[in-house]
Order: sequence, then structure tokens, then C-alpha cells
Amino acid sequence: MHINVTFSSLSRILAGVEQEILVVPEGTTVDRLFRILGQKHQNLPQDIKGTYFLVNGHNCTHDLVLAEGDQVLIFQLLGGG
Amino acid sequence: MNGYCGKMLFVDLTKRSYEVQALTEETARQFIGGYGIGAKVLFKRMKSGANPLGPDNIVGFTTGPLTGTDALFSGRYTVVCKSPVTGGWNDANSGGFFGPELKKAGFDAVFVQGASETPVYVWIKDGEVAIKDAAHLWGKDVLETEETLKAELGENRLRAAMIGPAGEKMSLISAVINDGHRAAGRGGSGAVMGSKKLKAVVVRGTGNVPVADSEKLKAANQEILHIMKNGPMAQFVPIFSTFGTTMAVSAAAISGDSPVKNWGGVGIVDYGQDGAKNFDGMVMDPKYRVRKYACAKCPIGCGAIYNVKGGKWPVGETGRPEYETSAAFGCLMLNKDLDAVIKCNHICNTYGLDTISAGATVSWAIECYENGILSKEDTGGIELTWGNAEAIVKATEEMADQSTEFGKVLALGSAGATEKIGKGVEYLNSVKGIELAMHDPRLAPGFARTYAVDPTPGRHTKGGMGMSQMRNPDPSKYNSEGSGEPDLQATVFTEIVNTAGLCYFNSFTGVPNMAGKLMPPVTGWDFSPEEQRNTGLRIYNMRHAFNLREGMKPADFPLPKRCVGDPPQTEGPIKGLTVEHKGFIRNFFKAIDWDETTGKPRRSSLEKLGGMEDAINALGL
Repeated sequence: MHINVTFSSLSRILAGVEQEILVVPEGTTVDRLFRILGQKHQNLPQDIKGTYFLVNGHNCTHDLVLAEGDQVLIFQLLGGG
Repeated sequence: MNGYCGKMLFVDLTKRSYEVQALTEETARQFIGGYGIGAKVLFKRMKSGANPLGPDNIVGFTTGPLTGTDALFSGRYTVVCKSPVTGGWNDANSGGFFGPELKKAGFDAVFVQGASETPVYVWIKDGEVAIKDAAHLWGKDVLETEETLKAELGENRLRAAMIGPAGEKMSLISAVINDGHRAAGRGGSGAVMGSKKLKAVVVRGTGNVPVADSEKLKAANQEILHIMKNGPMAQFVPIFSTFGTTMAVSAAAISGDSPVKNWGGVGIVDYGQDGAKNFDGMVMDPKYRVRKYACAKCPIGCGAIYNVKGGKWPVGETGRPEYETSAAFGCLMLNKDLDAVIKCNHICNTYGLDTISAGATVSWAIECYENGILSKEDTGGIELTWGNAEAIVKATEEMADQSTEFGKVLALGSAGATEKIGKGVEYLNSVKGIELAMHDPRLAPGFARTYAVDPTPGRHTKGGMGMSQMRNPDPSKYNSEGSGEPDLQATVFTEIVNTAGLCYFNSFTGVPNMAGKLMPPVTGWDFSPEEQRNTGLRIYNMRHAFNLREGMKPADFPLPKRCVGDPPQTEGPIKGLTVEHKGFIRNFFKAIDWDETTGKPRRSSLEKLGGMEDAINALGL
């Protein structure tokens, strides 16, 4: 299935790309997507702990099963002054 | 005394006199520096009830023991005073080069009381002090002022902490600016200087700050650099070095970290990814960046200088807007115009306004206008609508120069403005009159506790759990059970960072307890973890005691409803969420041993800390 991935802010810098469409197996979870992206973009953090995911504009758990055409926004927040 | 000059300067502008007093080792060790020594001195020398804009207020410029040494990240200083907004304790922290120069000029701190009849500045050069006429500087912006000072004093390397026209006119949201674009912004310190007709404290120093063991300090610095390059944050340090706090602006806007539409909107719905990403450094820098900016002794250098030569608002060279500014003038008012945000940042820097309060005040005014609370007649014809860049810039200009009646109202800050016009209170997002910083407790509930309980309300740089929660999506962060001790630890640790003279962003390096690493080779003290904790507690309690003596209590610091999700948002990443902030506050009070109703610390706790006799006696504990 096709998943639309957008990297925001820090993630965009680390991935080196703003948006891409990934073809992933049916039943792929957010967690699995993170690992697929980590293999594709080596500079992304390997630990999922500090990474936010918005799926179709909503917060989600890492075990959420993605669906065809889902929009996934990925980012980290590091703080600002 | 290593790390210190051992001298504090006390200036009396009414008498046009000054005296130098010793900073004792006991006071230094108990209160470190910055707002720690500031709170100790102001508590002793001021009485309760002093008019914040009167001669009995004292404004202090205080450094830490690391400032002026070779310790990395040590360029900070603090401005302390009684706030004309809260009527209580105020401290505001700034970087750049003023702090180290003051130490090299021979003083750990300068305190100014009284008021001059005519504008003056204080000039300090290698221990020599003069109170000089500043009538010719009054009305100049900070850039013109610094240029003039350098020429007339013949000192190209002087540094100055000064006010612009906003502080001269005693705007309650005016800041103290140094090095052109570094601000001790919050709480109205600029107005206090303005009330004394004190234009600037100007310093030039060629001295050295003694350190206990320069070889061990060098080794500590080397260790810090090694961890930065190889430790857990190694991947992020170069990114932060390039983009600074602009590295995550768009993520903050859509995640729920940044407040949107005067705290009533949803980033991903009302602002959108396309608008937000205009303010990421990677988008802004290619357009305007000309060079990097680093504060004194900073190996990261997270700042930048922009040059805007064209477009609607060609300001020339100016500081890159930081995250707080980009959020306050950006998503907070649904403004997607980058050039407008750069212009507003430039206005705030040159006229001397706190960008957080300035942006939040304009945002408040917009919501009032959109809801008919303010009319076009009230705004002097400005159509103050969401995202209207021209209107936002115009309102900011008028707020800075107070050239119109509307501008004079805005210059009071949002809370002062509602008092003046008698309406609009329902759209305030402030605690005790201080506009909240640009981090939403609905995403990181720890900020609710800090905003409400820190002796300087509404701040995002006063420790607690907010910053670490913001970085962590795990929903367990909303559960306040057991929060007291970790919240307290994260708070007292920050007291040490801030008072030692270290930059808050030392935490981005991955170096654990940088203050604990740098203080021993500089001061010669062991500075054990237990001493650090007790010192942090003492400093926090001293700032709090200042407020208690003014008659303040916890109920005086209610949080605005929007920031805790009352009612919750109905869409977006934080929909349905109400923050259980009272649990976090209750737990913190228990951990620090303060009475929940009166806010008073237990006498035995303060006695155990030592150095708190003034507070114990004054508060009748």
C-alpha cells in the first residue's frame, strides 16, 4: 500500500527530503514504518522514543496499523527559546 | 575568590553617587550569582511595597562565577528588579558579551537605585566608575545608542546593556537589550530602567577573572567538546549550530507545542504545514543569512545575522528571529509572512521590547478586534485581523514608539491594556500579567506548573519537566502521580545553570550536569550534588520569599483556561485533552515543602538550607 510521508523540521533535515510516497506491505504499523524509514534514511534517529507521528492529522500509538493513502507526518521537538 | 571579582557596585542615581561593596565568599557560595545573588541583595535592601517604577526599586545586572572565564557556554548575565507587571520578583537572562565584559571590568554585579532627573548612563572601565549625561542618547534606538557611545568614549570594544525608546517611555513589556539583538526580555525590566532615566550600563574591561585551576578547566572544556562530538546529541549539535532554535518551528506549530491563534486555534487546522514551514531555519537562512552569531565562549553559536535588503520591510542587518519570536509573531496570530516577522523582531530589538509579550499582546488585540471588543476607531484605523501582516507590523511599530493612542495601550502589555480599556480580559493568556511563553502545557503539562509556580510566572526557561516532556510523545507524561521530586530536581538544577552564568542550551549538548563539571575548576569548590541541590533550593526559595513578602500567595497566579484545555480542543493532535495541572502543582508544593494555601515554606526547611535568615524573619515563619 502507499503511504504519504512528510518530514517536518528536524526530521526533514535528517532525512534530507521533505516528502515521499512509500510502498509498504499491508498491515504495516507506525513502528514498522519508522524502522523502514530508518533503513532508508540513515541519519534519522534509531530510537523511536523522541519521534512524533501524526497520522491524518491525529496523534497515534506506535502499534497503529496504517491504511492505503494515509498521510504520516514525522517530526521531533527539541525546544526553543 | 576564584570565579569572582569579589566586588559589587551600588549606584544611587538620586544622589548621583556610588559605592563599591565586597561580595563575600559566604554569599557567593550560598547564592552563586545571577538572580541568586540578585534576590539576596534586593530582598535585603528593598522594603515590601516599593513602587516598581519609583526610586526605591533596584535594578541589578548580575553575572555568575563562570562568566568572564574560559568556561564554555558561560556568556550569560541576568537583570533583576521588582517587576512593574507582577509587583513581585523579576529576573531576565541574556547572552551576548555584556556579562563577561562586566566581570573583566572588575564587578560581579551592578545595582542601581534611586532615579535621576535627567537621562544618564553608568560607565565602568576597569574598575573606574562614572555617571554620565545621556540626554543626547534619549530617544535613540539601541543600535544608534551603541554607535554613539563607542564614538564618544573612544572605545570600540565596549559593551552595553541598554533600553531603547520603549523602555524610556516605560512600556511594561520593554526589555533590556545588549549587543544589538540579545534581550533580557521578560517582566518589564526596561520600564524600571526608564523610570530611573537610566539609559544604559556601559562597560569595558581588560582584567582577568581568577580561576582555581586553569588546567582542570581546560580539561573540563575538552571533555564537554568530546561529548558534544561523540555523545547522545552528536547528531543534533551541528544542526542546532546551523539553525539554532529555528530548527523546529514548523513542527512546533503543527504539533500542539506552539500556541496558535491566541491559544484558541489548532496548528494543523488553522495555520497549516505550508504556512509553518516558512519559519524553519532551512527555509529562512538561504534567503537572508549572512553570518553566524555566537555568544561569548559558546562552541555552538546558535544565532545568525540576516540581511534583508528588499521586499516590503528592508531592515538591513538584523538578528535572526528565534523560535519564541517566530511563534509569537507567526502562528500565534496566524501570520505566514516571514518578512513581517523579521520586521517585528527588528522593531522589538531596536526599540527594546520583549518579543514574547509583544507578539502575545498584538495577538490578544487581534482577537479583541475580530470579536468586536476593539473597533477600527480604537485601533486608529488598523484592520487588525488574523494573519494580516501589514496590520501586525503597523501595530507593532505603534506599540514600540507609542506614537498613537492605540500604541500606548498596546505598550502596557495585554493585561495592562485590558485594565486600561476595561475589556478584553477573556482573551488574556497570562499569569499575573505576564504573557505565557510559546510552549503549550497541553502538549507538555510540566509547563503548566512552571508557568504558575515559578516566582517569575509565564516563563519557559525556569526548569521543571516541560522541556523534557515536550521532546517525548509518551502519554504517560500527563499523569502527575509521583511528579513532585523529578519536577523539583529539574527545577533546582536549572537554578544552578542560570546563576552560574551558563546558557540554558547547554542541555542540547548531551553533557550531563555541565555546571557540576565547570564550577569546581573555576571556583575551587567541591560543589557536590548535595551542595548543588541545596544551593538551588536556597536560590528558588529566596526569589519566592520576595513575592511572599509582597503579600502574594498561590491563588494570585491562576493559569488561563485555554492553556490547560479548559475546554479541550475538538480537533488536532491534542484534541480532547485537559491538563490535570493541579496535581502537578500540588506535588511540587509537597516536594519543596511549601504550604499549598499560603505558599509559605516550612521554617525548618529554610533553617536547614542556611542563608535564609532575612526571609525567615521577614515572613514571620
